[in-house]
Amino acid sequence: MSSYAMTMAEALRDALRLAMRQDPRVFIIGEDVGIAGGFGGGFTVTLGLSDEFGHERVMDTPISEIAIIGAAVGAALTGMRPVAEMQYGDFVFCGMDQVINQAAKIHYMSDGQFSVPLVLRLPVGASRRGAQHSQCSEAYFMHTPGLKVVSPSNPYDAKGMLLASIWDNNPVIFLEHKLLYGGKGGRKEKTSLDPIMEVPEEAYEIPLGTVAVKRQGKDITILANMLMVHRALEAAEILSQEGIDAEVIDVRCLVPLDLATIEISVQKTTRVLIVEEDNLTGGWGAEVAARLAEKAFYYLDAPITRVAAPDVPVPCAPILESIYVPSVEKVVIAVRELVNG
Amino acid sequence: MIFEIVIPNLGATGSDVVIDDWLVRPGDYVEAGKPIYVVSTDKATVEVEAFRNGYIRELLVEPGTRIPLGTVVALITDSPDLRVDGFPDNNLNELTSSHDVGQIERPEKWVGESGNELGMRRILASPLARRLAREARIPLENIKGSGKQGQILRRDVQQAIDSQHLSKSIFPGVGSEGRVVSVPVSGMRRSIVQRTQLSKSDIPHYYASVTIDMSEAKAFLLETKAFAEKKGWSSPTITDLSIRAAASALRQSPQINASFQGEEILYYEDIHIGLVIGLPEGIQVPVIHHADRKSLYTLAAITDRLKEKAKTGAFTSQDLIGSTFSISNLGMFGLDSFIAVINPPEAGILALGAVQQIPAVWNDQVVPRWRMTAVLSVDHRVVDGIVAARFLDEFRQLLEHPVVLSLTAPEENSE
Amino acid sequence: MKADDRKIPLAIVMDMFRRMVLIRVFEDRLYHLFLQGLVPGTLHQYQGQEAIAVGVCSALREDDFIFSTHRPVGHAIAKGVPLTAIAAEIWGKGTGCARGRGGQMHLVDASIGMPPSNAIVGANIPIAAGAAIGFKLLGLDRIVISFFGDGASNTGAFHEGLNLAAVKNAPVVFVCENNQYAASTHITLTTRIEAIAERAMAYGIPGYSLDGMDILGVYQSVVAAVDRARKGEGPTLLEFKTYRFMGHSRGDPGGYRLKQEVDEWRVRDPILRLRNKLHTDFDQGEQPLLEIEAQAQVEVENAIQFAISSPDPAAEETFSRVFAGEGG
Repeated sequence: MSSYAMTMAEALRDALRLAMRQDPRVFIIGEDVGIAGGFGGGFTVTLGLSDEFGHERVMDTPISEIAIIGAAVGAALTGMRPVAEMQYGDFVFCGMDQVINQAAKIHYMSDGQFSVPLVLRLPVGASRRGAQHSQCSEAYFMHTPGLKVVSPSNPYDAKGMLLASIWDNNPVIFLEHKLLYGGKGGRKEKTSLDPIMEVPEEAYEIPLGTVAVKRQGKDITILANMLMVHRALEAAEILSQEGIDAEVIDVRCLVPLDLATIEISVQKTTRVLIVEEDNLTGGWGAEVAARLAEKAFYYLDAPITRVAAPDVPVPCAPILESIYVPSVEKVVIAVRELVNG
Repeated sequence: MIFEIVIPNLGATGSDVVIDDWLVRPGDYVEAGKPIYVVSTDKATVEVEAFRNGYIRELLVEPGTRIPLGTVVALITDSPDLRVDGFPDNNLNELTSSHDVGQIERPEKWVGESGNELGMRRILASPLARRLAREARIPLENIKGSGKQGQILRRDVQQAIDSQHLSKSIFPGVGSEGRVVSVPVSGMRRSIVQRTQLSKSDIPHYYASVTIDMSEAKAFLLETKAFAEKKGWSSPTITDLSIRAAASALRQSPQINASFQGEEILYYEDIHIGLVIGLPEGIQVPVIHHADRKSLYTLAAITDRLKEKAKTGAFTSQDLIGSTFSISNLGMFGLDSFIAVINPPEAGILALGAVQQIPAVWNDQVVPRWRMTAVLSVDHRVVDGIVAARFLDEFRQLLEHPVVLSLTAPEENSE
Repeated sequence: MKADDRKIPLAIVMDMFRRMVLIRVFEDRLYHLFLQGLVPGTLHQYQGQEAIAVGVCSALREDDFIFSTHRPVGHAIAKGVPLTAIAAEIWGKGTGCARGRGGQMHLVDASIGMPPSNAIVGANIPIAAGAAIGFKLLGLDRIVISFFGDGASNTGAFHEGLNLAAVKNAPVVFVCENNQYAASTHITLTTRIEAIAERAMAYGIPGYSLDGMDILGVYQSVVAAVDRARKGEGPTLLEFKTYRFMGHSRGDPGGYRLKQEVDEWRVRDPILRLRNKLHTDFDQGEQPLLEIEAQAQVEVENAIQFAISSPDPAAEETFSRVFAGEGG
């Protein structure tokens, strides 16, 4: 059993490759995903796959988000396992009817006679491209019954959770943060984080419906996902110098949500800070905060607090974007306030 | 303007009460003093009056609902047309929470008894702190909050628990050879526990005592009694005389008719004297309002009525609130003297011993005289030694020359 | 076409007649019940368009998929969903084809190739294209029918779906039931071209505009299109001009249509037409047809009685089946 150092893009590609080898029903559909000599999708994830699997299984489409998602739904109804890609996560809104009215509801409406085992991959997160190429949209999908929502923060999780999502018989919205893809073998993002880690060579699944405790601590529980996990860990380092010991939990799967693990953490630390890159109002943090307020009320020594992006569209200028996206400093300040009372 | 009608401190227990009945409907005009609802405490069923004139705007609590003191139960406006939109929520939300709160008691609220407001002051504490304090049986009002908003946090409760353990460990455990009966602290006892604990831990008590020659007073009371019996009035007692004298003495030493409030001291213009009445299960302290304005016969009538009410448990809320000074008389048990605990947030309490006949030096001769010892406890933050001494001196002089306390017929309407 | 009609086996033609009559009797009965206030939900009725549903479905195998719309009763009966299950679903009962979860607009039956019909106008067009792609990738020769109306042909989903199907050579037949109206809006107000079938040219696929009241003509054209698809020759757009005799949905008295127009189309009633054809071209007497009609009445009555007397779904059904593979 060997492993390789992989970026997240490589890990995702590896997952797709292994899944497609294992089951001929898995196929990829999206814009610029299979073109020979092309990009390999929005962010190189599908690069080279059409060489091995051909252009029918790595299917390029016109610019037709409604049709991309709709066709994925239709193919899923026949028993295929499509992995559809939106070139930028923001484009999913062009095809939202197919996600919300169709994919999410078909199993329920048909009394389980039909299911929609598709994965919809969305590159998300602010990356200096402006308001229509930057949104983190978890909240829309968390709010929709019938969808699962996954948002990994590192290569190991990404591969394991993509495989689990492909084998799941339900529509899974799979969010990938642009600044976490990694610079190797393709386009490198400015200010990207490019986490690289040892990832097992073979196929493995990380079950959906789990969160990961990235750092143990006793003074406060910080909940975060995707890029914000890394910011939170940085903040925890700084805070440990001040004698504040933060526990950081990677909420890598929002639906289904492992609230039990989070509750145990909160009971231990008595304080919660949620760090999210989506807009404050109605973000996933609001939902988790409400659930914790109900379940863990008598263990709270401080108000449940969120550090999120302000309720504005994502600005483009670097300095404005850096104000929009929650920073390490903002997290540190928020934690200090909560711990000191 | 809209005002809240809030369940006042009914004195008896300090915990939850139940509204039995509303005596008014929305739209009714009420005058201050008119009873507007009936409420049951652990001890008594009490009619509560309106404390201001106005129009009943809205009734917020259903009869039969159990609610903590301090709950806003109705709204009253001084103009009949005022709408009630956007009025802040009260703590009734706790009752309708989806969470099962069956095992968790209501948090207790501190009662502010200044003469000005009859509302409640909230204690800010985190949910965790409240729970820990409740489990440790430490009243929140005994814990100082270290949070920025003054809120009590877990660390504050932990500190309070630690210091408790410290004091507990000083006393060796008692080996129980005989049968031990455990009685939970609740109701009136709980209230007494809390109030005396608070009083003794917060207030620096200072004591002064005086022995008073009561021979003139006794003779005086015989005469007043004869007259009262002829008139069919209540007969004044030593206690009534003492109340009258204390009220006058307070007029002379107004610094004692006060309350310590942390950053300020409140000096009350009106004199309301609380009279400690002992009951089988504890004590109650009904109030004689404006004691300085009441004639002796009026006082006699009032105290008679209060003693009756104490026996039947029929105090109204007005009876139990607003005292600015208290008097306790244990003379009937033959005590020479005793030292009373100040009734917070007052600044003084007078403890009266028995009136006893003893040999005394009077006009250079040794003759039998009647004597009574009075002990004054004061809050030294508010009352210095000299003030206490002057008060006691005045008190003594008035009792030794009781004619000075003017006599008038009892008023028809004694309140 | 005319000559070819007689080559169609009589059994098939009689079955077509039976199914058209069943649809008509059922829908008429529902309407009367609706007027009495006895139908719990909404209705989108199919009278007048029966030739299309039946003509199309007669050309299909059981494992071919049909994607239907908010007006699915005709399609469902034509494809073979049991009438009792359809009626019970309309009544919201636990014995309905979706056990009450779908309702009138979401009829479904996986056993005879009907995914849940779609109430979002146009939305099932790209889905149908995707299902066809799916069959193709699976190496099956199953094909897909995408039913939609003239209104849907103006949605973005129509454009994207047809284009993608064309470019991928998907084995799908797009069937546009042009009943001249999208809800209350006449097609001349929404579309500048004469026939929706003209749009096929924009996608490089064949398109035909045909008479939707002639069931045998419908049948013939679909057989040809299905054959094309199964051979891997790609999609076809078939437009059938037809008319709905009733309003758009149950609450619609149709005040935006002239009575004259309705009467003109009623004369061309596809059931009457087939009846005549059975007499003239297939030498059928009145008796067998009357028997079929009487039989239909009985079947419809039974189905409605079944629906009305069926139990409601259990309360717990509200919470189950959101996700697949977890037992509900």
